[in-house]
Amino acid sequence: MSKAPKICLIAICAVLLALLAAWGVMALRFPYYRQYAKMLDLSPRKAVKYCGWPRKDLEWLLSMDVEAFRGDWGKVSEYSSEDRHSMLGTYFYNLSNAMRGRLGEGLMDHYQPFERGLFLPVNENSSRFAITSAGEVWYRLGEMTMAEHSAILGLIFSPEHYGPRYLMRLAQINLVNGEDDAARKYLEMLGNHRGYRQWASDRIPGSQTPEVEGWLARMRSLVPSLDTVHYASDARTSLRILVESNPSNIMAREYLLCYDLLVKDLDSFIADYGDCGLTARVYQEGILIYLAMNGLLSEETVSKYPVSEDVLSDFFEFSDIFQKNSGAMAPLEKKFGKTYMFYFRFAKRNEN
Amino acid sequence: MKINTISFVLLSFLCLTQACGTGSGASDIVRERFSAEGESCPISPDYTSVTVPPNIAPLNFRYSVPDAKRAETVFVYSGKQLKIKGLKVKWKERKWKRMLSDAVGGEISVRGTVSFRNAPSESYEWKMYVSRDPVDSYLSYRLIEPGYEVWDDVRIMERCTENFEETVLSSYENTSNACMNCHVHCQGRGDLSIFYLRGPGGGAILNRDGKLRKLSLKDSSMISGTVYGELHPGGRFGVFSTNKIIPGFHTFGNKRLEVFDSESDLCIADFDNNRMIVPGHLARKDVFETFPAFSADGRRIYYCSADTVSLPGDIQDLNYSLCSVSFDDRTGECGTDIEVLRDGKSVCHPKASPDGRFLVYTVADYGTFPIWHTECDLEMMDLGTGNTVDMSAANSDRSDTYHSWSSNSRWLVFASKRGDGQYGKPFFCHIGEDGSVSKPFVLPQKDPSFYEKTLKSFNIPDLSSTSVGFGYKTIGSIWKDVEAEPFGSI
Repeated sequence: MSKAPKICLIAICAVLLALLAAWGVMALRFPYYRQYAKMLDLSPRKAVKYCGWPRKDLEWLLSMDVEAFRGDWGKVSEYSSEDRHSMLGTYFYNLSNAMRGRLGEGLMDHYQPFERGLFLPVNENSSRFAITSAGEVWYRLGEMTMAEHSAILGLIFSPEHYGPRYLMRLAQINLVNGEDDAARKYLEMLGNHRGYRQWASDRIPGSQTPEVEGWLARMRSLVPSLDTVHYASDARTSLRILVESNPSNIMAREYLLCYDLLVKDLDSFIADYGDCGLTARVYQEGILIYLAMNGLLSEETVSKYPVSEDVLSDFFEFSDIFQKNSGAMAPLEKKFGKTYMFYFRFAKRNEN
Repeated sequence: MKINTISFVLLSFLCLTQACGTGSGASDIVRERFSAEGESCPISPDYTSVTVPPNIAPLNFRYSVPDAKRAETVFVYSGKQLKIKGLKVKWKERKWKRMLSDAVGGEISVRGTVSFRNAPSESYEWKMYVSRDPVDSYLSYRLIEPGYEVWDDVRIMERCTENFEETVLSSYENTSNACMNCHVHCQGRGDLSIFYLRGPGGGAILNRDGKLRKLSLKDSSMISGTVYGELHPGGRFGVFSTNKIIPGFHTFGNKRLEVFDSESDLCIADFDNNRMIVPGHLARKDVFETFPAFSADGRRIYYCSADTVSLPGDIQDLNYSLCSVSFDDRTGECGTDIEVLRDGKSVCHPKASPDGRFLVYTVADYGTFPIWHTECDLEMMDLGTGNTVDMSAANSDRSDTYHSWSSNSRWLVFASKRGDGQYGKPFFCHIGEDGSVSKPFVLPQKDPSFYEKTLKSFNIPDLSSTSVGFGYKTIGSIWKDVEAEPFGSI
């Protein structure tokens, strides 16, 4: 071989090795970036093209998204507990709390951008990333229509209109819905992917593992047994149907109550609360505000709800300070900054 | 070797002696075996017992029986025999065409012998019938994920039904990712068709005698731009609906999406004089009017009409009747002689056969968006008698919708979600002169596994005898450089 082609070959090899090394370093420093790219079937080049270069803030978002998809709520909770005043961060924070039965308990400990921290808005301004993440909550709640709609949207707006992540979710949804032929299509496609073969094989209708059968039974117990047609933005109707279909779906109940509270619709909150008896502080405060605003605050009416002495005493203290300071926010912030009373009085919707 | 049905020799003899026009009435032992013995079809796509046009592209298929190791398939027709080895049966186009031309008006017997790793070989036998009636050579469709509410990277394609060539008529790449929809031909004519480019720079793209125009089919009296519609055979007029369309979601997971109108009216576009005609009696506030289509002679308009109800709450009470009204193709005026042809359930998408004999439409339990309605079926009316004709051979347990006639009125293509239930695929069925309907077959693809891998639906398949003659570059230039012609009202 003459000298020039030899040098050229060495240079190409060096560049390839450098790229490989760079990807290796990146994979070590940004493991979720790499895993996210794999779930979307993106080559390193395409991952950079569509997601940008890996960076810490992106890695943080991806860590929550990837772990939520996997269902590791401990990790989602760990990553999302850092309050960066991010809508996506709040979305995963609320979801991880809800999955552990403490959505209401943790609600006011974190930045809450109204209902958008419960259900991510999907519109022309939404990022591909947010569109993909938005379906997770519906899937976990048992609302398979919205979950499937979100998964299809994720697929539509994904870089390659393809990816194991979407196939997995669509397979899961169709299994829960009893749409075995559709599920089989996605599972067979996944069967051709290294790393997903076993996952797919465990779920093929007719030869599911006991673990998968158990999961299916759990998921099917959540799905609505009543049918109605609602607008995409009408989360409340979906949640009410979920609760009505299955009153033991506590997660759906909590999302419904927190939705009412975050949009400050206390009439709906009281109607949806009914006699469910949930005792998170945020619900107790919501009840007291409702009663006070409707002139119903009495010992007798309060006694009908599970309101503790502490909450009642805080409520009166808050009201006193509020009145004495003509509605000023500052005197209340230190003690009551993380209460629903404070949110109700002072939180303003930021449309941006 | 185990042969499950009657001997191959006898079958071959039968196939040589049995004349077959459409095949739909012919007895078929193998088909009975598949269904009566509860066995699933051994091949994918299911091309057993189907009637095919003499000019169709090769029906490539694969054996879908589990654990199959090897296969050999023998095709017997007109005293000849062809053998193909392999679990995937992929034809050389020349050989396929020669076989079809030899078997025209008759049938092809197929025997597949499949060997397994740890089990004895099995044989499967079936027939295909070759009609004398050719199908239109081109099929256009939109490829889109089955969301229908939003889009990204949408294309309208034109596929030659005689081979596997597919060209792009309009692409997101040349129109800044604009939405595009509903490419429909008039009576299968490649030189008379229309589709929409939505959004800024958009308009209705009218292809009339090979000339393309971009039109703004809207005036101040209309509730929206035009949506569904059809072109008059004379080419001067189009009939359209104007709809305010709203999507809604079922809470039952497998019922998915419902789309309904908050308002809808009918209107006529006069392409010679750039004017819109909105007949008051077909634009009533208390009635939804939609899905208009011309009769074959252009003297009547078929459409669907429903009394308004409160939506989305009362969607299950939304029932569209099939109606017709006279049309004057000299003036563009509609008569007032509204006739109700079919009611009781909800009718969508009427389309008249070009020979004027039949009208095919879809029937669902309720609503105006039947693609997720598993009960939705095609129904055919004999326009001579007003009677409905049995289409059960074509229908499935999934939605069968958005049909289109071939120009010779002998073939119908429609989008069916049979199989996976989620992705629309174009199916063809033969319609005999007497209205007999054959078992449909899916548009053949080069790769027999194509439909198992695709994540796109074939939306609004529409046949034409010739190509439309334009492509995505021309459409891109029109989108970018041509102002939409305004239309006014009278």
